[in-house]
Amino acid sequence: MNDTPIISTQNLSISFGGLKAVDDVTLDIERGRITSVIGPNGAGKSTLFNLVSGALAPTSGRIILDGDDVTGMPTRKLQARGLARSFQITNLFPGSTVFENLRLAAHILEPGVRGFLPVSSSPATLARVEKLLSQFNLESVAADRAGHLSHGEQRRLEIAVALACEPKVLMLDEPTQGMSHVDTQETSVLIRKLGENLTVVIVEHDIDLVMDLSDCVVVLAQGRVLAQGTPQQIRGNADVQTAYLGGH
Amino acid sequence: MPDPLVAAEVTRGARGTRGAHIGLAKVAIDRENEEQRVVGCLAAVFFLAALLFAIYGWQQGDTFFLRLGTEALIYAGLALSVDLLLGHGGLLSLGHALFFGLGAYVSALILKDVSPSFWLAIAGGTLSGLLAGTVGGIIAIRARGVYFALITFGMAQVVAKIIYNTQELGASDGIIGIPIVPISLGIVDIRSDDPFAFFTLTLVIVAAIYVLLSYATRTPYGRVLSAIRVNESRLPFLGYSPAYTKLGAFVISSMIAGLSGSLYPMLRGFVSPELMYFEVSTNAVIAVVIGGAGTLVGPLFGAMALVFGKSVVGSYTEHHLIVVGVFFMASVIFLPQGFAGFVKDRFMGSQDDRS
Amino acid sequence: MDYLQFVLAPQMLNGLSFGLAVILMALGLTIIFGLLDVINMAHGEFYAIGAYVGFVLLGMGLNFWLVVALVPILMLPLGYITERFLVRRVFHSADRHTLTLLLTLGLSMILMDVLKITFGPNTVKPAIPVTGGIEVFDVFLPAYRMLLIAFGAAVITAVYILIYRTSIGAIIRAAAFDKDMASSLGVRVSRVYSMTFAVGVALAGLSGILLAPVFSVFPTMGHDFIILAFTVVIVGGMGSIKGAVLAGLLLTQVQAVASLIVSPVWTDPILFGIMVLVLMLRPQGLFGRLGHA
Repeated sequence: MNDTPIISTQNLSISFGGLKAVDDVTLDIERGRITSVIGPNGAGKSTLFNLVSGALAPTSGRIILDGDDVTGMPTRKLQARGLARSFQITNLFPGSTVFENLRLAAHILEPGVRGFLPVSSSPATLARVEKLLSQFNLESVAADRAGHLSHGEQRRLEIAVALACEPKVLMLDEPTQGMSHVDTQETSVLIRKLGENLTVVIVEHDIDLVMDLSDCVVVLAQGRVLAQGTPQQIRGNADVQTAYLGGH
Repeated sequence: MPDPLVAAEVTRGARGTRGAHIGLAKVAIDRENEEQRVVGCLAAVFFLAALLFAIYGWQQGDTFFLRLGTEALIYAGLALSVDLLLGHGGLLSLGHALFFGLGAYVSALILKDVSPSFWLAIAGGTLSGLLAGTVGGIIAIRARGVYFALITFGMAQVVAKIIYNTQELGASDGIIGIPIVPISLGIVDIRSDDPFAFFTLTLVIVAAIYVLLSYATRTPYGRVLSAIRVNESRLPFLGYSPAYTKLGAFVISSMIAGLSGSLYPMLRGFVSPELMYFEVSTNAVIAVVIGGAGTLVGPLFGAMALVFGKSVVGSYTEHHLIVVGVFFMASVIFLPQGFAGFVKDRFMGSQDDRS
Repeated sequence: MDYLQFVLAPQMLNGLSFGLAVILMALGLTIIFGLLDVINMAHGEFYAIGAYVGFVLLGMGLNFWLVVALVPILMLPLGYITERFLVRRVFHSADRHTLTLLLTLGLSMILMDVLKITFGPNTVKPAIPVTGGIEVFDVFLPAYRMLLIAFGAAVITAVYILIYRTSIGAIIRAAAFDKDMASSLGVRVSRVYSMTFAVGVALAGLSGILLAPVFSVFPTMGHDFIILAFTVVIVGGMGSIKGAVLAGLLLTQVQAVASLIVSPVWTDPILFGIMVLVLMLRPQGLFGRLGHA
């Protein structure tokens, strides 16, 4: 329906002190695909992620989201335009139940007057929360405090919370970090299913997972784009072999 | 590429019927409702006891205790305003006496110089809270944690000092000679010097504030405010604005403090700079902490305990600060969730670890 | 010229002597915050206790400078006990910022009342120990104020050397930077905490006795003073020693000069305005925290 990229970065750069963490990155993220950003430690993956999600403002360059220039726009506004992200460090609201965590996130879709009606009076939000609970297999722990969940469950909740606002783009920061093999497999299945309906951008260390999951892979090295292509293309790329996969 | 896990996922999706989901989410909602029930019971106990107290006092022809009770209720209103910020937003204000005192002064000036109208006076007090709260809030919400506490502390101190030195406002003497206020309530007409009637009216106002605030904390907006206390930096990524939420809470809180303050001159017939002093701010914080921050009902009990406790201790010694201080410190150390928090945990037999 | 000589210069000098006492007080606050993350609301009362203890010792006929040496030593155990038995009780809870603030707030109420019971509500004033003065370029310099400036500067320098040039200071800074790392290196962090709190309280007491002959001594004296000390600490950067010194000098000079121009009532709003401005432009204050800079 729409072939323009959902996110484009144009000559995006940011430096901390003298260090250029992201250096002149021009990149298109295609609609409805799963795109992964990989690269060795310190390649600027997380920084790029933070730039695109509005957590950091770039030193120079532009970010286009769905045709609009959103450079320097605060996180909250980006979120309202359909960009949601998860965090590497799980840091939601540990004292609240899983249900409350999700409901808080889901309520953002009921703006205005609804914000001043009781939380319990919103069937649409409730339905959305229930769908997420089932989708992420969190039903049995719905009434547990988020801080009491297992690591795998917390990671799943983290993604579910990001999804609660029904975003167009879901950005996942190392979604399987610290997970057991079984949990990783399960999460990979989940992400693939999510990718059927929305654009997913992942920063990930686990190369096997990335190659298995992604439609498109972006390789960063020293803050620059080293290569971009399908998993097959990336596997065959000589530069990537030497710079990154060779050492793996 | 066939994947057994996808198959497993699909079966699980099919197995989980909609009924089962609702059942599980319901457990979570039930828990919340039970919490509300316990708090609601405590509130019912409070307002019923206050009403019985009023009727008993009326029968006995008492003045002293009814007026003391009215004062306690006025301070309970202030404590509620502090609890909205501290218990829900995690914002410790050490300067709410500013809005309370401002409301009292504005009300006193209206009653004395404009018209002895009850409605005009409380409207003026609330409006002064709105204006001062907007200005003060814009300054204070930029600061986090202890900085917020110290800024509100400084703000109140500065304004108190200015009032103290302003001749037009009676300087250190304050404003005296506030006329008795006739209050027309439609069905019945009362006067502010009738101890029973004014107590009951104040009780109704405090109950209204309580109901309003406990309703507000159950709205999505209220939940966002509570989330600020736990994880402020995460909220923008969920689409919420911590700054606007905090400012909104601050303004509502100041309006309630101003409204409470506006009742003071009707009760006592005067206002003085003491109403803006640090002690008034700290007393409100103490009432919140010993009563149970974040419960709203706790601060009502806390304010009663503080005002009546001080009066009782005061009949033996003028050094009530020691008693209050010891009591307060013991509460912080041994019962950090306060009286209402303790009762709530008891009744819910909880695995609670509020964070 | 006359204005400079008879009004401005003496006023600035007054401001300077006052400023050094404020800095001593703010140093205690900022060190305690820098290391323990605790806002000590009872700091003003420790200041008052210092003044009263000094007043009692002077009443026993001791020499003023001996008293000035004794007061901080006598204050040390008070600070130690406060940290050991109160602050530490809530130190490990999640809300410790708020809880320690509330706890020291409760303590300040108690101490204020204890002072009222022990010494009565009235104001007392020790005699100025050194009278007379010297004239420099026709400007009269009261001797006690000059001594106060010299002594205060010496103590501030000593504290600075203690923190930045000695091994004890290195331990304190290490504990402020990362207490886990420090304790894994064999530092007994909890003892460092108690000792530092004690030193902070001793500095408040010292400030109290030094200012006692200039201002008067009364039970609530700390209450008015602590707001200024907090303002200094916030403007300088919570936990920064350098910041406390510079902000202390700056703000007391602003206060001294401003009170010549506007009514003294308005000096507080001016200082508060400066604080708000600093917080808006540099939320962390002018300088960085102890152990972090």
